[in-house]
Amino acid sequence: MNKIFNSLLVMLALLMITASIQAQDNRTLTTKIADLLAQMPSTNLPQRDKLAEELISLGSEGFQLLADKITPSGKGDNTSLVFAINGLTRYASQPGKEVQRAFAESVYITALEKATDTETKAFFMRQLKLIGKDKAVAAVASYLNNSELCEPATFVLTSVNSEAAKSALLIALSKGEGKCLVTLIRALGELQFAAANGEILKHISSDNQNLSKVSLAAAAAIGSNESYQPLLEAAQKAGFVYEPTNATSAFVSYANRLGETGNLTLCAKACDEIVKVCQSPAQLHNSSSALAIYTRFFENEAQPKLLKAFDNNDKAFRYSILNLVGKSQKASTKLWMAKAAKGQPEPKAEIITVLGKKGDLSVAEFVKKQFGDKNKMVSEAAISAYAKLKGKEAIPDLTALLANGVQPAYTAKTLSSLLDEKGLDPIAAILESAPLNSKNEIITLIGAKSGKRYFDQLYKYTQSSDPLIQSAAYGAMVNTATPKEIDRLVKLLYATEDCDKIKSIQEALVNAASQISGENEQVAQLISAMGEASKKGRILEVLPRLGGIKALKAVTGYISSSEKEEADAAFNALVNWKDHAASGALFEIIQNAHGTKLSGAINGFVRQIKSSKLPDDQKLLQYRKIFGYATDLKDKELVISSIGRVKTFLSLITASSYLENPELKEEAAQAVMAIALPSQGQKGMAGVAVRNALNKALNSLTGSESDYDRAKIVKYLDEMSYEDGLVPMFNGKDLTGWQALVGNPVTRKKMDPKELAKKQVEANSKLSGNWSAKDGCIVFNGDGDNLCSVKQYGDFGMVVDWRITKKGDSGIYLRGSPQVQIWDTSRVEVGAQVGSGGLYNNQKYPSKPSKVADNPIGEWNTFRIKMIGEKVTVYLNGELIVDNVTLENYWDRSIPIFPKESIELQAHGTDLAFRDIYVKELNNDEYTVPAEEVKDGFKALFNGKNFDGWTGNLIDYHVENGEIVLHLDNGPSHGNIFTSDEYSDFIYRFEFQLTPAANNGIGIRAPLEGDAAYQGMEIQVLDSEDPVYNDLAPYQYHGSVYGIIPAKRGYLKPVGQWNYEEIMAKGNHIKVTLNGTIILDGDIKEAAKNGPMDHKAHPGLFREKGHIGFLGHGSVVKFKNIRLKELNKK
Amino acid sequence: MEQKSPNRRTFLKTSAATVAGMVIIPRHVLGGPGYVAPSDQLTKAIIGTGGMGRGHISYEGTKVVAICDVDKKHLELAKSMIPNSVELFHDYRELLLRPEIDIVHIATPPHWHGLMAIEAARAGKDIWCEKPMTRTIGEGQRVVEEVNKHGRMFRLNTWFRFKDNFYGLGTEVKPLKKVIESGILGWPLKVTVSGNTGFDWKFFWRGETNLSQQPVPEELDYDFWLGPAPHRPYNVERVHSKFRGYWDYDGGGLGDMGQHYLDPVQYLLGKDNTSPIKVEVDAPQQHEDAVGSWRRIEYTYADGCKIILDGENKDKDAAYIEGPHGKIFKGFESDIPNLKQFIETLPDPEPRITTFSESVRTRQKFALNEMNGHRSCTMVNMGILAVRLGRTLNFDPDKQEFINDEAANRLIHQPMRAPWTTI
Repeated sequence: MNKIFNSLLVMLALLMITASIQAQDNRTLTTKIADLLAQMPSTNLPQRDKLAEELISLGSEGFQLLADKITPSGKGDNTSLVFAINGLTRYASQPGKEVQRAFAESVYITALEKATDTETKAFFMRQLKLIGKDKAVAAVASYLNNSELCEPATFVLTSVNSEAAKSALLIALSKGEGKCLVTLIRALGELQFAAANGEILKHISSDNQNLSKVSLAAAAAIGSNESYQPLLEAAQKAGFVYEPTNATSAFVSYANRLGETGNLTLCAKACDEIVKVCQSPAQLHNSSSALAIYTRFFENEAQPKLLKAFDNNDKAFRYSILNLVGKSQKASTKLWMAKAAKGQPEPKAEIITVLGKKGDLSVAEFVKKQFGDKNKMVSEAAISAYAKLKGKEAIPDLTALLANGVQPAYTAKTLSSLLDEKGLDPIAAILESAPLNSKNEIITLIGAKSGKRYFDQLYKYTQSSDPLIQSAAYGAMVNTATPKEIDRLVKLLYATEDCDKIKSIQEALVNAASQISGENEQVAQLISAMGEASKKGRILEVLPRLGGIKALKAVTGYISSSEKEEADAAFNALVNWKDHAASGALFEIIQNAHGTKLSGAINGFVRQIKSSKLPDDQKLLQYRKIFGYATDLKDKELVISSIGRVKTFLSLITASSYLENPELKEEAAQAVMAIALPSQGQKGMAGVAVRNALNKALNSLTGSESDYDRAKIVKYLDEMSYEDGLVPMFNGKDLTGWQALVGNPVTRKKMDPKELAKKQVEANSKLSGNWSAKDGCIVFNGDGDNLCSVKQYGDFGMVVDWRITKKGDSGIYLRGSPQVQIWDTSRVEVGAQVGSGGLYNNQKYPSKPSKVADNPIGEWNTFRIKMIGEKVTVYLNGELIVDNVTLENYWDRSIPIFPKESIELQAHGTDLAFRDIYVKELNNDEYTVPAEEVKDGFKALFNGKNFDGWTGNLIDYHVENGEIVLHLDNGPSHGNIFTSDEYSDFIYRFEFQLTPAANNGIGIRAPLEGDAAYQGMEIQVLDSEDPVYNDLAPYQYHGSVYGIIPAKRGYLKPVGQWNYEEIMAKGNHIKVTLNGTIILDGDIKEAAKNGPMDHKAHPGLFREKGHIGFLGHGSVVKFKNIRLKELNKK
Repeated sequence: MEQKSPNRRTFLKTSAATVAGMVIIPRHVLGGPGYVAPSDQLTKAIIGTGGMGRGHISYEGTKVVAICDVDKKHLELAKSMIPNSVELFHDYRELLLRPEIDIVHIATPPHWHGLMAIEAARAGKDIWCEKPMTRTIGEGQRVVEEVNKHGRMFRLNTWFRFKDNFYGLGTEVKPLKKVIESGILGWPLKVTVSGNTGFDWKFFWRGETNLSQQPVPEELDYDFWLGPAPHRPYNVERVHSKFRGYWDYDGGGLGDMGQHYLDPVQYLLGKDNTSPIKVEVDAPQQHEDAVGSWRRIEYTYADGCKIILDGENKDKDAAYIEGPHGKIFKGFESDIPNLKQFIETLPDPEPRITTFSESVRTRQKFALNEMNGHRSCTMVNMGILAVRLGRTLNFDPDKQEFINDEAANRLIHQPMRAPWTTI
């Protein structure tokens, strides 16, 4: 009765929960399951919960259909099934989800019984382990003697931990044998089921070591009186030492359990027995345990036992006892104080340490008396115990110790963790009168706490005759020096030859100068002091820590000094410079140095660039600039790995160019991976060049973590979109794709095509003399006209590196028009001091860049240019210098810039070079139907920008990059969108992109309400080849008129690529063409004449007209280029 | 053949005076700087000689005398790396029987850590255990009990709370601890651990699903390798360098690296004796067997302190440590002027023992021991459970159990395959 009532309750609740989902959902159970599985795993938890509710809404019949799909491992893919079912388990395991839990428990039990292989049964048991209750106990009980399944079955029972669970285990135990017997006893022990004790004890002496072990442990955990003798005997047999049956530990645990169950007499007896027997080194830790147990249950009564046991030579044992004292009540303190007073030095020190940790202030006086103990251990223990007990209040007493020279090192160290700078006065006050052995500790202590006020007082000890005191004084200057001490410090610096002292003074100088505001002011005093002396190197070594132009100038002045010491110091200073200000000077050196000097300079250069805040484009240029000079493999690797930390397209291109270099390919592959894959909150890169580089990198990775890296790359490649990205305009070898200039866009337009072609040929014939490809660059020798891209570009983004020589002048023409300016900024006579990158010929709009970002003449520069409509944005070397400015039409100022034209490299009479020219065409235009299709009568249904003309679920569907994208931000959506207009006969063309197992559909002739597949017609859109769809009916695969006419399979492109589809609907004639192949061509009337194939009612099948739409089934899909031609339009 | 010293314990027993003496006599008098007389050297055994365990061979102050692995190839490889002769074991329980071993290093996959630590304590050994300390909160509790009861020394093998630059901060933990103890940042604090704060966290570690059954290689005793873990058919993905991708043995990047990052923060916040009261997660649904990724885990303590593991570096401007009155960023940058100079004036943190051999000799707890190690590992395991269950969990740090969540509590003690058990 109860069972029936429960089921009813469950069903009722489920109906309520799922009512909203059921509404208007006429999908078959099979489809619902497939749709559900297609959404596994859910990407967030609200979605998981929603899907779990959907799974519940399938009811027990639906669940079993899904469960039936599970196959043993290696015989199919269970991934989605495991996600779905385990998602339900976790959902249903939430507090407050009793109805759902009961549902899950009951369907799992059915599935467990129906499953035929042990793996699947074990899977359902693992689910029950989390959510099962007594119903599950009954269900798994029958497996308790099954050698393959007794283990997971006991896991369920120990988790449920009910009386029924215990009884089930005990019943099974009577029949238990082999592995199951061991398993059952383990479980009974964990559940501490006393009723099983008699049965368990039978096995404790078994020859089977495993059986004996679990029986001993179980008997100990149960803790019955009658186990005393058998467990003791087993421990005695084991010699009270460790052995694999753990008999000794079992007896110890048993003693503990006796205490827990209140059987204190027996507990004490067991503990005494253990302490008595366990006296050898290999047994003492058992005594420790026994004493711990005894203390736990007898508290202060245990003290006499502990005090007695403490008289042992074993330090570890003594400490284990003291740890118990540390945890025991206050009353024990006196006893231990007395013990300490009488004890030998080492135990005495140990007790004092523990008393300190215990925090009972009544021992403070006793502890204090031990400060002067002649044994160092005791004295130190007392000092730190006292500090622990009294905290900051201990400071005066400890200061007195320092003043008297008692354990000064230890005392000072202890004071250091109590004192701050404000409390130094009393310490400084004792310095003069303190004994010699304390002075150095006091000085160090004041220094460590930055007691600047005491600088003078400490300074004089730099002249002390005691070497320890002297070195302490030098050390203390580091944190106490102030700017007014700089002159004094410099004098001292020149007066010593001791390396440690020199280092201390240099540190002190850095700290002192750092307190002055302004970099140049910081070094001024130092530099003026430097000029007079011969040991300038010592100051030069300080300057890179301070930095600034003044310091840099001073250092570079010595780089070619004839004094080797000075030159070396200057070089080291540049290498160690605190920022990238020295990188220019280092580059000078790199160009001429070799050997260790070259390596040193490269390492310094790279470190400075890496840690600088320069824009990424500039960092890359800097790395590329020095790479060619590196000769040592390690240096080359360093540069490549540094390039890997720059996340730009060109850094990827640069790194990938070393993927075939046998020495550098590993480093290059790591770099490519680091650049292309998502990281640090940045999205990963996409495009053909990226894909190629990553594929190459896969083959170049070796080393211990390479499997892991490769897996990461493969995963990313799978997810990456198939866009083209930035594509090369220059192949690095010749001028393919480029041609000579003929006239200008205005004059060219006036020419007739034949004339233009002829002139083009003529012009091209003269080209090779002027423009050429050399060493991976396009170079211009200073004569002739512009070089033009053959292809014309509308909206685009481009990247290009350029280099000019002295007095150079060039530019990039956009859409055949001048120009993004390039020139030598020294040409002030023409106004070049504003820098390159401006829209030079603008009159109305700004023509100058917002700042100068040019690199020195002869060095490479990077432009990133974006042009959308009339607007141009330019980055030069990573700096934004033209921000969305209109480019005027130079050739005809009365009209806006041309919509599409070529990109040109300007020739302007001097040596020029361009490299790495990449372009990406941008489609931010409104979608326009191709001209030939317009002629044919097609019109756009989707404008590429917004949902004008559409209606329905405009929340889950988004417009992105000219595409309609269904997201699952708000969980799985079954939402639809439809055209606002209705259509009857038509040809409908579109492109779509699927994600794995994606499901959507094209509704045609559909009403806005109801299930379009039945109230209208649905042309299926589905990733048919995903394994989750193995069991669908033929009329459910992609392209089918859903439920009516099946389509041919096998013409979808791989997931992630765009598919092109055309649907023709003319009266009852439906034709679907996918990627050029007709996959369906049929008559719906004919097909449905004996009733629809899916045996469902399709009331809307013969509607004459209706809306066209996308039917969401909870997966991510994209659509674009959607256009339509009406066939019956009069 | 090298002589065994079967009475290591007699050394410890009688060496009290010697130890004291050694403190006084400078080491170089005994035999040059850094010299440790052979008779003073502690002995160790390594259980688990995969990549991690082989790394333990050279750990300071001790000499390897025994190694153990259930993979013959791993055992042979480790043997070839040890200059002296060592005894080889297949079954760690036989190794634990040897009286000459002082310290046992546990460098197996995490599903063994708790069990072996308990057994090593029962055998009277001191323990050097790899991170994560245990695979469940319950195992951690048992390790704490057994190690304490038996008076053993324990160190967990992560060290950032006392040594080495603390990841992106370019400093050791010590000055940070001083700042926090000074109170200048205010309270409560929020700590954000992410790529943006300079932590190079390997968040990504995923297992393969739908593994087929493969033949077990001859050198591997797979059943013993699984030990306490549930039986699953063998596949090469599950073992050795891949095991972190499966919940049965570890917890992905969180298991692998989590304790490295969380432990120093627990110390900084002064939370060594407690745990957060709440853990919230943002993650995709997790597979039952194979570890997946996650996006964010947020821990909250009773006093309002928070630790955020920002797996996707979403919060670009996040400070590493943020309090009501000040922030500390990557590279030890701060909005408090002259912070570094201020730190110099502050009291030092309480000194702790940071070499394990010293801890073993003096019987003073190691800086990172079973107690605070268990607490920082509890954070790892709380995070793993919240990610796996896919929900916010509330935790009682004193009782060490979840509040009003039976399923989560079922996962505190996860049953082991017989004959393995922690009772």
